[in-house]
Amino acid sequence: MAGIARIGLIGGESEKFSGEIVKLFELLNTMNDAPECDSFCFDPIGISDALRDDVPIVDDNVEAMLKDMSTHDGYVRGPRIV
Amino acid sequence: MTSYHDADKKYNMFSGTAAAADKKRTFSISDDIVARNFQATAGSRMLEGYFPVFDSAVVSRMTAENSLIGTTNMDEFGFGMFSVSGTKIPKNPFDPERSCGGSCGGAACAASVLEDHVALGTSAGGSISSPAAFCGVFGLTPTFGRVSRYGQIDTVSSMGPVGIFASKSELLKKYLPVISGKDERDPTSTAQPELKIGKKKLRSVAVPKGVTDGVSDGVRKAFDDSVNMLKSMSVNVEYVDMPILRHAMPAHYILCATEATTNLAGYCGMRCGQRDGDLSLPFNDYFASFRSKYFGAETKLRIIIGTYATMGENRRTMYLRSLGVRKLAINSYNGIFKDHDAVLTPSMPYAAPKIADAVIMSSVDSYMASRFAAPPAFCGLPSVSVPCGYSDGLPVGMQFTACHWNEDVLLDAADLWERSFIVKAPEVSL
Repeated sequence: MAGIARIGLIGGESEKFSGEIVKLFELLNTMNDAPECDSFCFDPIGISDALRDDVPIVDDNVEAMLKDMSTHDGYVRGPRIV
Repeated sequence: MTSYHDADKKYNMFSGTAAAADKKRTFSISDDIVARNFQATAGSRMLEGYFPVFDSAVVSRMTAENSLIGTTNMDEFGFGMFSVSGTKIPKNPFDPERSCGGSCGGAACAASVLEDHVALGTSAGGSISSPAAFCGVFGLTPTFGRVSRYGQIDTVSSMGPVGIFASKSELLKKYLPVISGKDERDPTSTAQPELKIGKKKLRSVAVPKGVTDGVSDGVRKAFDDSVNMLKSMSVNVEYVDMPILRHAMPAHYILCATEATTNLAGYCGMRCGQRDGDLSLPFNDYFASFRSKYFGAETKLRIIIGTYATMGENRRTMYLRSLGVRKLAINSYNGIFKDHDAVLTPSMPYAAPKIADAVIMSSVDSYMASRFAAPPAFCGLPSVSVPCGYSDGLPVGMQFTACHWNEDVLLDAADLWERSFIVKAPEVSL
């Protein structure tokens, strides 16, 4: 699971998690007898769209943001995708 | 007046401080709320070196009349109940060997130690009520959506409003209107009704049956005494069944983990925070190397569970089912709110543990300490933790939870309680 989650376990975390996971699933397994609900929502309150005029804006200081990044020609450097 | 620099040396509550305050009133923000010129790490090594280039909505609203003096220590990305999983551990002002609670332990400590100080923090599952109880201060968690989350480092998207810690209830009443209000930069804030204060009175509370089962003797005594005191103040108290609470905890855990898994995927060593990776690595290896090196153990565990809970059939049996449980829990609370103004529980099942014990506590035991504070946060309900007793000299808190948007009755409850209960301040010698 850690591999799928793109997480490497270091410094004894693997042993620590082995014990933790057992207790954790005891807790999570109580969901097996949870009552069903025929509907749900992703937020606990009603959400309304916040719309603005379709006018491009730059509300962050791009120069300041790029200042601390590793850049090349104004682009953020990243690793190889393929 | 206590110097915040001196206080920080003794209690380790700040992750960063301003050189000086230029206004009489001071406030602080937990380390997951951003402000210009203050490093914001959310308690994580992953974000060390991140200096935001903008102010969060709450900082913009507060700085008109108040000085921002610092950012406060917290559990990494809010995962924890004792503030021991972050980069620095704050010390409890009533006993520096003990935990401040979490995740916003530094904020509660600052509110406890600094005179008339207002500390802002976030709570996705008791991160305000827990430290407020342990540090003996008032802690208000508004309705989810009452306060703009613009500029809040997002770990859990559907929970976690910004709330207030203060040593006096009047400060909650004064500053909630300051930080509240619609903000088009945060759609969760735009559906809120007008905040009304001074209209509703606390007349009746519901206490879940068996709520003190398994709590410490000190908490049970303080809570039972407080219930009797409320009765003597002509507040009606009725014991009610809330069986859904049994499933609210695992459902809350699953939703927090799944939402965090998505939100924390953004920390891949490119845009903010640490960027010392080997750019020649393939993307997935580069990405994984940062997460392995800079996320703490608790954060990794949550990401692993969050990934598991959304895989294949688990998406239906764990994630979607948890969303359903949330709806049932909200319905359960709303049924109670037809007859009562608030649900009353202890804030925490015990008083502040020693930091040394909290550090080695299992993840599940730590999480279950939030069993009173997490369900309201899970449902987006507002709550307030108030000091209600002392156990071996350590503060104990109780928590009032009200229906959505009804902060008014919580402010009245805190005010009513403060007029009858003597809140003790810690003996601070610097």
